Amino acid sequence: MAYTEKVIDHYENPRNVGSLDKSSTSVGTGLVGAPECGDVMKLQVEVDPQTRVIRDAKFKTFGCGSAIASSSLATEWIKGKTIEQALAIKNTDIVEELSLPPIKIHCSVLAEDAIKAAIGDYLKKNGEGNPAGEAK
Amino acid sequence: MRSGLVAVVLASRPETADSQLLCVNCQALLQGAKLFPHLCGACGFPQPLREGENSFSLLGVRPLFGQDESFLRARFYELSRALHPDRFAAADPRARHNSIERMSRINEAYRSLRDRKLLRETLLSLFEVGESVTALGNSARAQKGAPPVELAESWFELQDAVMDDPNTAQTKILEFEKSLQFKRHAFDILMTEQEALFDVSEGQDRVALLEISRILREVSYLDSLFRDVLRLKERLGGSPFLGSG
Repeated sequence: MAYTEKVIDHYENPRNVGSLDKSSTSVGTGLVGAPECGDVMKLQVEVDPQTRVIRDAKFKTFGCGSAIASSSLATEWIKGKTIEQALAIKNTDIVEELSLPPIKIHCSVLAEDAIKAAIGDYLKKNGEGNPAGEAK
Repeated sequence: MRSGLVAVVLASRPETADSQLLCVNCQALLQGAKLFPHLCGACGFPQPLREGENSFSLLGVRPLFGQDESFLRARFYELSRALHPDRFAAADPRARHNSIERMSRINEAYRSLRDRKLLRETLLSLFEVGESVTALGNSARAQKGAPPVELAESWFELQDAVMDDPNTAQTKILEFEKSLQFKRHAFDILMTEQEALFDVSEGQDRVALLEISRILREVSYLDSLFRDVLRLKERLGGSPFLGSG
């Protein structure tokens, strides 16, 4: 199975690799692992408390090309979006954008979970509790 | 009050009727036959498989985790001798068909009850607790399939550390492997405890079953990490950024 051009592009030039200050109250961190293959993904968001817009997003992923591309794309998409808009992103959106084959769908699920976990962490830090449907 | 009692009596009736099994060949009552429910005690006709028969009932044992291996073996050989299709080579085709069908299910049942891992799966699926770990689809992941965060975190940190400082990589990987083995061992003990609880409760303790199925998922993640650590070792020297996916 060959990776699509978009996957290769994200894999070779991943956007937003790195990390943000975990201890900052405006930063939320999500770390999720895939039960199927041992891929692990860390995704962080920095949120403007006034506007609830995600000012910055960083990720680091240990995994296959699809997992890296999925998380790279996820950070690209959520930057500039509000928390609510980011939470509305579905793994199927990622599957479509990257044309992931069925055996790589779990990579997109991982990316969706990472977004939700990062935002959930931000909300928890700021006393807002967990949004519905957040991955533990 | 009174009508409630009637309802209970009525509800229990079909079961009583059901348990009166008759031979498909001679209509004799099957209960009490030495090889119930496989062969008719009166005419020796092999009975067709009936709904509700499972790996445990086929071998005449209770659906519990603790099984007496020598009893299972003895029962299996006894049934094999009595039901072997060769014995019915010249018999009524229906009898032959039943013996083949029954014997293949009994073979399967014996295989799944003498292996501890398979016994666990068989029992969990009999009580419809969880799916087998491999059957867990993506949709189930968010609710219950997500691996323990703590484990995922330490696996992430290990890879991070290995990338940062390849010189200490070997030591760190060894430490991580050791911690995985320790956890694996702890899970085995936990699982044995829950199995004992279930058996002591005579199969009533469903919470124990749920707990076992949860532990099994964690164990399956641990096992996948063992494989990934092996791959990481093989890969050291290559690009550490590329994973198995």
